[in-house]
Amino acid sequence: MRIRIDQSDAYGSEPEIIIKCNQVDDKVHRIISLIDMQKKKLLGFADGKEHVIDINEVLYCESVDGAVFIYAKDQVYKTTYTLNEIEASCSEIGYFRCSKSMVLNIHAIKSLKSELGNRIDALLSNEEHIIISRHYAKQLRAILKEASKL
Amino acid sequence: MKRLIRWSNWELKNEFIACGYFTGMLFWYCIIEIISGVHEVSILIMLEMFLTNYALSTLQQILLNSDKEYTTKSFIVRGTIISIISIIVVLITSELGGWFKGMPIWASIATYILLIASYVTVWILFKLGKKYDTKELNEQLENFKHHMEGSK
Repeated sequence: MRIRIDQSDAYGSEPEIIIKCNQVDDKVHRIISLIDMQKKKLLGFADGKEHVIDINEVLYCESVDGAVFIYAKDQVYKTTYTLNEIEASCSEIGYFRCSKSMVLNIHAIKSLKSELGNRIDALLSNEEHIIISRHYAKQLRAILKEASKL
Repeated sequence: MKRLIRWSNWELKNEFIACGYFTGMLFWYCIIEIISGVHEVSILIMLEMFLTNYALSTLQQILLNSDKEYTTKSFIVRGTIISIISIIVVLITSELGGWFKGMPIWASIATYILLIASYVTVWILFKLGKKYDTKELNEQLENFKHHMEGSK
């Protein structure tokens, strides 16, 4: 794969990305996914079709048997992103790793409940409960505390 | 070597907890002795107290291992078992060791009531602490969402 950057003042303020390929395969899909993430969208697959998912619609992303799924309000999508990529790209907009196999959108949390053993029970907007273990609860507390200071 | 280090950390923590319980128990025992007009504590009784508290702290460490995570139900069950066993063990040990021999009956009764009350108090404080923590977490969550909404 060759990468070429063509920079010029004539191109305006918003960059345009053109992918030249003879076939839209998994690799190209992956590149598109990574670029889409920058526009705060995620690319997922459901019912044999590609979907562009608004990052604000996502409740959480979960890794199951090596595959990553995006759980949105009304649909579950399979994605080619890894949890690490999702976590790294979306952490500044409120995504946080709540377990080894899950990245949670903090905005999707309706309420929190402190549990015995320093765990936290997160109630999501779809009424689902996610138990955040002690180790990750500490990180969530740090994130929330940091935001409270601002 | 790792096992040895892990065991010694566990043991140090265990002894620290046991000493804490022992100090509390001895302090209370000294108060009731003074009220009863006695100004000395038998070394044998102190040894029995320490060994009892060591056994109870070991039980606590085994049932509520700080390195493990438990579900809320499991935590409550284990905590309740620890509380009940502790009360029974102290009751039996104090009677067999004659801790309250020669003292008025209220001394032993007050001790057992205090023991039960202390466990109940711990549970109440735990619950209140969790309630307060929940309130704080949700306030911080709202602040977080407002802050992020503003910066979008």
